[in-house]
Amino acid sequence: MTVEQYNKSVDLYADAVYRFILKNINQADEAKDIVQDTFEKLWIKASDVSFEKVKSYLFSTAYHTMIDKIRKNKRISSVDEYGSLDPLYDNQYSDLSEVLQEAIKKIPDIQRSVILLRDYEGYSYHEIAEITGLNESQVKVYIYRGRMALKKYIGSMEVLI
Amino acid sequence: MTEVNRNNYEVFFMDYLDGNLSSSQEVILQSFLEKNPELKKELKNFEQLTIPDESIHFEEKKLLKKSTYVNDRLQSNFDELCIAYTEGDLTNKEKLLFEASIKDSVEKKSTLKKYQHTKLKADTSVIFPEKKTLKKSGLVFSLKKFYPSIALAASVLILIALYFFIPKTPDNLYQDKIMLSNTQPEAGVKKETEVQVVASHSITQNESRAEQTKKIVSTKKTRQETKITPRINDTIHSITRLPVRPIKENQTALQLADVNTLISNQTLNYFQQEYAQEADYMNLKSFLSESFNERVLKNNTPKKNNSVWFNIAQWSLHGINRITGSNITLEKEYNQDGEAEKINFHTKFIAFSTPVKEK
Repeated sequence: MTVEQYNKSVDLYADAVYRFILKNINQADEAKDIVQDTFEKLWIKASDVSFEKVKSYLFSTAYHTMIDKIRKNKRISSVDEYGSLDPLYDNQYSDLSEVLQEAIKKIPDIQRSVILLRDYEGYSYHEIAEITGLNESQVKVYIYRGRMALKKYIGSMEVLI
Repeated sequence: MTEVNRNNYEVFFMDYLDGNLSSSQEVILQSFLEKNPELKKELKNFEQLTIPDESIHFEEKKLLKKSTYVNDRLQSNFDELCIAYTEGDLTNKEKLLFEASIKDSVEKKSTLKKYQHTKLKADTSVIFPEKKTLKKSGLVFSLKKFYPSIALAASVLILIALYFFIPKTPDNLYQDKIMLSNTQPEAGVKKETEVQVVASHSITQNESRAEQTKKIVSTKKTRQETKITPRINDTIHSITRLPVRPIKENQTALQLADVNTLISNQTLNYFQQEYAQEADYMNLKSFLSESFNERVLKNNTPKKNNSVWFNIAQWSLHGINRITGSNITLEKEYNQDGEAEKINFHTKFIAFSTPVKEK
């Protein structure tokens, strides 16, 4: 990868990586640090990473950097912590996207990550598996569980909207 | 087959029963049966052997059938089907089947809609604010790309070093025994005479160089023995520890009659000149070990006369001599105490000497 291609990668993917991390950890400063680290790692490996594969490299590196930070801060959650997501019946949210933004914070980290990769970036199960280091079946299961949790959280559509 | 006879009528009967006979063949068969009424009876018996068609059915046919993904989940796991539909995991056929199955159910439609609403949309208003700090200028340096070139250059350098800097010592440069031939043994002279020869005894003109030579000789304990097969009636004489160059055949045919002459005359001069050239510089191993001792271990062993730079210069000149075939020499001249006094530089066109600076 040339310097021009590296800089082009910054233009193309920095926002997407930042968004993905921010939605995962909900801390802007930490998300910025992770993005910085990710691109530093890319710069070090620039000669070994081709421009065609740079996007998945960035997401994979960012994801693992984020996991490391979460582990350091001992903030990683288990599925059990999110055992009950009660349906939201109050009317503090005006539209569905707001409800969803709130709901996504409440599902387990791993489910959130795979759903964000799927919905934000449109990655296939196989690509998500490569980025996260899971296998395809696990990715599928986490997405299914995540969707069910989100649907449960949304609750009665008629009440909300 | 156009004719029916008693040898082939069974085949005609079979074809008749299967309906494979043509109308002309049927006429032939009928005329044959008219002539042979007993066979007509046999044909009737054949007709009665036909097994009647029975309506027997396998009752558990349904058990053998495989249910489709959609059919199966429509009943048992509708949520999973909704998610699969939302994720685009269903084939077109399955999609149509699924859509048809929920068409009449408001509740199922509503459930599907909820799942479809769980699809997140990226908030494009969120951007990374410090993008400029991520950008780089300069070159992406890949050491891997240069590995082959570096390896090649290193290999060439090593080869050059091996070729030029390590003294090319023939296996028989130092030999413990030299077999000298003698074609005319004289009375009174022992057939095998062992003569101890020490290099320094023979070299009288340059004492210090001889000492240097001795050092190198003493370090080379393992030396191969070169034997020149003696001719018939040859007398074998062995001379120990004499550094020599390879001995050509015509040089070995020396008379034993005067061993002293042998040592003091041309042969020894030849050895002396040839060997002196080789001994003027250290080999790479000695140089490295000496340098290591002096610089790293700070070993205060008595300093040797040849300095590092002097050795390097001598190696270089030796290399140049080998390449160009010239005879450029750089030598130290020693005083009576064995200390270096002068450095002499000698070429075909120019020669000079410079005193050694005292430290």
